[in-house]
Amino acid sequence: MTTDAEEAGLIARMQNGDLEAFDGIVRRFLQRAYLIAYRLLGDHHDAEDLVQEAFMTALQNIQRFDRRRPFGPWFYRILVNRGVNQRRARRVRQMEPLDPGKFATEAAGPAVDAERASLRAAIAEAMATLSERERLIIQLHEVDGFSGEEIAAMLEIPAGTVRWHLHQARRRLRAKLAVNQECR
Amino acid sequence: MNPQLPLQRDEALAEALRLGGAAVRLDGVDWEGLRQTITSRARAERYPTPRFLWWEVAAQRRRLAVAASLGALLSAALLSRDRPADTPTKGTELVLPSESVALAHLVHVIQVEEGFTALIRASGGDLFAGWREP
Repeated sequence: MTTDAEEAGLIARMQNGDLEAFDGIVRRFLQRAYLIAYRLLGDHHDAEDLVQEAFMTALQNIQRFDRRRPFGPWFYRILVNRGVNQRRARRVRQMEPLDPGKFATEAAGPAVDAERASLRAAIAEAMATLSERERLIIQLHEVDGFSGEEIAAMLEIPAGTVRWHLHQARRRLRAKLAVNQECR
Repeated sequence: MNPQLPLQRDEALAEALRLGGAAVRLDGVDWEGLRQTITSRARAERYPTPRFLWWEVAAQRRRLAVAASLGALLSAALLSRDRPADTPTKGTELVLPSESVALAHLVHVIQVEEGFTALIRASGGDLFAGWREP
């Protein structure tokens, strides 16, 4: 796996103590890190805290990082490990429960809103049937756009296992959504 | 997205998930504030500077010394070979510093850098402590 030259340059400067380079890395990875953190903790404040901690941990350990490798998977592993530990330690909230009321929709008219609310309720119900891991993987892949390889690296599991979880999650979601449709 | 649409295609299912509220709303996140908080913390907290382990520096210098000594040995050997026939043979002629002999011996015995580094570390920094000329 290779990395682009600009990223490698930033990492090299970080390893020499350049905090401007660290800022460049933060700009590059902040949004995706936040997405993962939110997926893990299901709360915006907790996600912000986790992202901060993950960046600080990466900075503290940057000398150990092999800059010939891409930074993302290494950093996301730090983030996920911390997030999983945090979730266990606090015995907190489940994954974001997909509360239909929590997701504001653009003004689209009462009929469309009603239809979307119905879909949200069906999806939330279907997602609740998945295991935590399946839910995390399908959200990261199908909704947030992470590749199977990226997810495998951040969760430290084989890519084949990610594919298997995706397959299982899709199968369960389809089954559940089909039942919902029949009930209407 | 109509929930009645067939979800057998992966793309259709993904679209249903996105429209069904599974997408994270990021428009309320203060990205600039979060970025500044992180970089401020980095400035405030102790930042580790590159660490140079003394034996790595020592190994680097010794490797250079080995290369230089081997170069000197090779040059001396080549000069000796090219001398006229009435001059003494190279075996009796060459007077090499004991360190060069020691280094040549080490290179022959140890071969690889890892072994060399380990030896330096184990020797407590004085590579030639206890060295006796053969």
